[in-house]
Amino acid sequence: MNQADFSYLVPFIIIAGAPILMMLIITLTKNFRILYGLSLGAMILAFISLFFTGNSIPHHVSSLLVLDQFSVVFMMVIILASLLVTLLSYNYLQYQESEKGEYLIVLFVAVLGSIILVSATHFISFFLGIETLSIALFILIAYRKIHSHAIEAGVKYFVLASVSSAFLLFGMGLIYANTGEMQFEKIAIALHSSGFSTPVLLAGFGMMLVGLGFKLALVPFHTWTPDVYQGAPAPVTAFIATISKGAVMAFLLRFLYELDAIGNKKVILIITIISVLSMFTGNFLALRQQNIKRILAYSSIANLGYLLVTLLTGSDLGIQAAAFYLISYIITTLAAFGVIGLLSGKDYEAENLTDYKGLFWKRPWVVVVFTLALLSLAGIPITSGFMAKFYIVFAGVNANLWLLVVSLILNSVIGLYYYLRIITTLFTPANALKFPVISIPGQLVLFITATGILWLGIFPQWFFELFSGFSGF
Amino acid sequence: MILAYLILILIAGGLIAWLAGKWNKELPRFIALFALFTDLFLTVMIYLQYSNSDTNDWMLVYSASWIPHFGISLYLALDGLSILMLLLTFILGIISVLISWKEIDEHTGFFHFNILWILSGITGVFLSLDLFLFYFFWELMLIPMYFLISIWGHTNRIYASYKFFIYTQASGLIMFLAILVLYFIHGKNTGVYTFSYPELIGTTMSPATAILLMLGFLVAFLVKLPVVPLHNWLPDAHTEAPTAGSLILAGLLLKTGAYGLLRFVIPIFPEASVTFAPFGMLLGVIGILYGAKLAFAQTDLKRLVAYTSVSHMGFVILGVYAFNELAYQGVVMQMIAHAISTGALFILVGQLQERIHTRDINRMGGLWKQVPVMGAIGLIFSMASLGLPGLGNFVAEFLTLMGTFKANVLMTCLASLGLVGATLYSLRILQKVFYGKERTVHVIKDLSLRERMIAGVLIVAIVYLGLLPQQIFNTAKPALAKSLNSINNQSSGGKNEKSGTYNFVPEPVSTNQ
Amino acid sequence: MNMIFYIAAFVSIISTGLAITGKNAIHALLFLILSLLSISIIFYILGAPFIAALEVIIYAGAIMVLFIFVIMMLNVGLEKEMEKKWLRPRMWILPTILAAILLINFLIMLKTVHFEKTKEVVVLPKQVGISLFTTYLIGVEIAAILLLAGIIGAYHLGSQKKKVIHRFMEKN
Repeated sequence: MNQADFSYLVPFIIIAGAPILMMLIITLTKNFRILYGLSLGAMILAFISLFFTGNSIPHHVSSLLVLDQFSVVFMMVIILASLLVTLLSYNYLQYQESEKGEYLIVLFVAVLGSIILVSATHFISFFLGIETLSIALFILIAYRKIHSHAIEAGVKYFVLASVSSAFLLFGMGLIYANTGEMQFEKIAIALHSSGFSTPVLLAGFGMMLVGLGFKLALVPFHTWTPDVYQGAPAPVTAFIATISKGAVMAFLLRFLYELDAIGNKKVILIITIISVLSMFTGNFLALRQQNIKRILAYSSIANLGYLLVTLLTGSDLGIQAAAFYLISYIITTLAAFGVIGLLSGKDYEAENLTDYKGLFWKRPWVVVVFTLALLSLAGIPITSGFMAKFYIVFAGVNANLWLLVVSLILNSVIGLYYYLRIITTLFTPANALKFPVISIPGQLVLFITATGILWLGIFPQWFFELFSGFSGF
Repeated sequence: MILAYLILILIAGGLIAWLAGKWNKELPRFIALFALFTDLFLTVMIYLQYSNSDTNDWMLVYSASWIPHFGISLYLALDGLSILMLLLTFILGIISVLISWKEIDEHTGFFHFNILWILSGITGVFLSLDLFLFYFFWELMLIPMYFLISIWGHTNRIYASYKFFIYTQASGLIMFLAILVLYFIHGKNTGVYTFSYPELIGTTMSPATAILLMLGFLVAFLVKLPVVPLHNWLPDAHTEAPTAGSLILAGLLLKTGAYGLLRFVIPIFPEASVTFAPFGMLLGVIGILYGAKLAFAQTDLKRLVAYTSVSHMGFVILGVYAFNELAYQGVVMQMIAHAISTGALFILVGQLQERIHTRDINRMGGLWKQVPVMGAIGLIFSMASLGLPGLGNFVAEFLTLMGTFKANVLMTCLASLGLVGATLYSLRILQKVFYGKERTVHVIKDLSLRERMIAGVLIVAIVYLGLLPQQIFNTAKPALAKSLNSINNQSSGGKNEKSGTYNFVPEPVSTNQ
Repeated sequence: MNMIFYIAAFVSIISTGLAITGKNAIHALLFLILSLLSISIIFYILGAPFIAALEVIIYAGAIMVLFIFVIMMLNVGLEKEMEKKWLRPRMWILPTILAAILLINFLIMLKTVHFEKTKEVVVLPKQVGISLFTTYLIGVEIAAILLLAGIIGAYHLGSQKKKVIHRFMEKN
């Protein structure tokens, strides 16, 4: 480590330093506004600092982290998304009686875990990143501890996160045992010379996939998702659905591409099966749900299934498609959970479909944002979801992945049904419940996400060009 | 540029109408009318300017880059076929706003937003020459249509709107997949990756691939048209939609399918189309007969009219696969005449329902005494529907049958039976609704001035089409010739000779006109 | 040496299983300590004496003792009865046997395993320290932040000021 390394670590230092500073401030004052302002400021600062790393990337900081175009873009996305989550949390923290500042501290730790994950090039940093993320998320999920749903969700997440960590560790251990390396580049070299055929290596690889599958909630490791989504407060659910999954997916992309694992037929087969299963299971289970959070949980399972298609293309186009899809998915999901979170009150979460009956006629703007988000999830033009799905299908057709492309299209049609169900409910002529007034930060989030959905959906060229730099690692 | 404005005016008009709806209930109607009249005016101006230049080229081309990363551009162009369709779109658009004047009195802002956005999607479909853009607009019109049906529709609206949406979206996605495959085949052949239609026309591919891709396109167009095994969404959607919705569905949405066949399927897949032709004609005949039979069996008046659409659209696909100019002129005429006659019938049903609150044919009867004007209008359009000489539909069906006769005698004979069917169901409408015994006592008013004016315009139009169709033929001729050229060149063995075959296609250069 | 590994591994699997399935918290913790001890033996024979020692000192020593204290303190008042029930042979015989096996295993290991003769590379505390503060410095920092979150979480979730609304009760 030298001085140059430190300049590249500035975003990490800001994100890691903010919670420590906040802890010190909490000892002096419990004024929530100061802490809230500080955390927003720190995130914006970290975001800006990312622009100054752009000069001489890729840059390796020791053997643990790398700052290349891919990680910088994803760090930007993550920090921006966490800024939105922080804004969303305002509404929720209003109802929290004590320890409001601590929530923000833990949120920062979770963000730190995510940005480390996207820039990890080493098993150690990967594992620490994912653990930091999971532990922090467990605390956030259970934060509203007077509700037993929250505790249940937290414990469920914690247990499954531990199990998946165990799988990850075992898998990494097996790969290390076989190659003697923990740095991805070196593993790749070792694999290149020895081949990818030994059963132990494959087993290690499979175990890592299982572990990551848990984090990404892919079928058959998806069972925790609906309960956790439902039990956690909406901003935290938004965090899990967007930042946490996005970071893990970004890591998976880097890992698979760097190891060149897509060349292996068995790996392809496994990921294909997981992908197709995730699409169908997620969409079919969502069809009959009455709870919007659960619907979105199942829809996220299906969406991750779509994302896996990009992995299998094994081309640069795939990485670009994945990046675009992830960004679109993150914005869209933030909008959807944002609406849910902002309509929730002190003692209830606005999560039942029936709560939303006829909301359009009372709160047209909120519903417009929500509808845009749902249409984007369904992949209808003028929303980002359409361009994102187009990109995936594009990459899939280019790589001749017919099975996956056809099941993606079939699933888009199935998915349409439950998104339409929600939309129809929103527009039914009926009297909606009384929902709280939406705070300024909340309005800001809705505005930003809606703009993002439309911008990505109508003028995606800028992003396409941005990502066209992602060509291998 | 003016072509882009045609679409933008509608999109902006929709948004403004929505916002205006917050302050005033009536304002959105005027905004919508204003936007549509502006578009109509612009289109008429273009028409007058270019109708006499007997060029085989596009009248107007507009091209701007949109997503150059994938070779997607905002590539719009206008020829005779498109301009006819556009005129139809704006006229029916204006009428659909007018007929909703009294029917829709809640959330007028959002209603007109939806109407204008559907129309902008349809306009886009008729103008785009970039396949991606085409698909974009193709999908864009679905969502507002879905809202139109599911919010302002009748009793069973939710079911109908789901069915409509899922049918069209699913088939659209299949077409999209076919578009992408075509894009890659063309890209790999030539190294130029583009969605531009003129470039894609000459794509060479193996016959099997061509058939598969053509089927991908066909599914989307045949669902929209609709053709019999895929027609299931139509009766529900038409029946449950509000009058304006039914009018746009029958008058315009169905036409996008026919337009797609003529514009895209035939020129891009000439060989495969020839292979498919017998099946296409068969589907057409089945549609004609089956639609007529079902129309005859309905008791719900609106559903009856919906099934007549299925029957009439059968002539379209029959004509498309006859591959000669007579039939094609018939097809274009059928598209326009059907839009007007069926649209008028839907309006009539809407007006009836507004007055007697039922669509059940068994609860009507003897209405002529009370509403002679309405009866007379009903009489005219029923006659149009059964193909009475002197009205537009007669010209259309007669030309189609003449054209098809050259291609396939058997199919033509069978299709002619459809005319008998049409007579049966059309007379049944009149018999049950306006003549016969009065079943129940309704005290109803005859048509108001606004309604009479709407009907008047439609009557003038259908009579004009019936008596002086030459103008339409002249306008559509160059565009149809292009489609036919591709077939003729193919059958004369020159399928790969690009020279001379496609030179009517302009390069997508950026022109601001 | 293989035998030693297998015995230790066997004991660790059995005791971990019992720790998970045990209904009584204290007994479960006893098994957990056993499991940690056996793992430290495995570390030792793999050539990591420092980690083995840490395993005993930190996990089996400090953390587990802390756990046991906490749990015992939570059960104030019932000691007498509990003691009688818990001190039945059925209760303590199994841990004792496992511990005895482990002890014998350990003694044999001390007798037989000499690192000079094996191919394992012995990693000593100094090396661990050096790599922690050079190559893996960032890792250590991340771990510190992770612990920060853990502490805050424990503090927030552990403090029991408010009544808990149970999900079955809130329905009434």
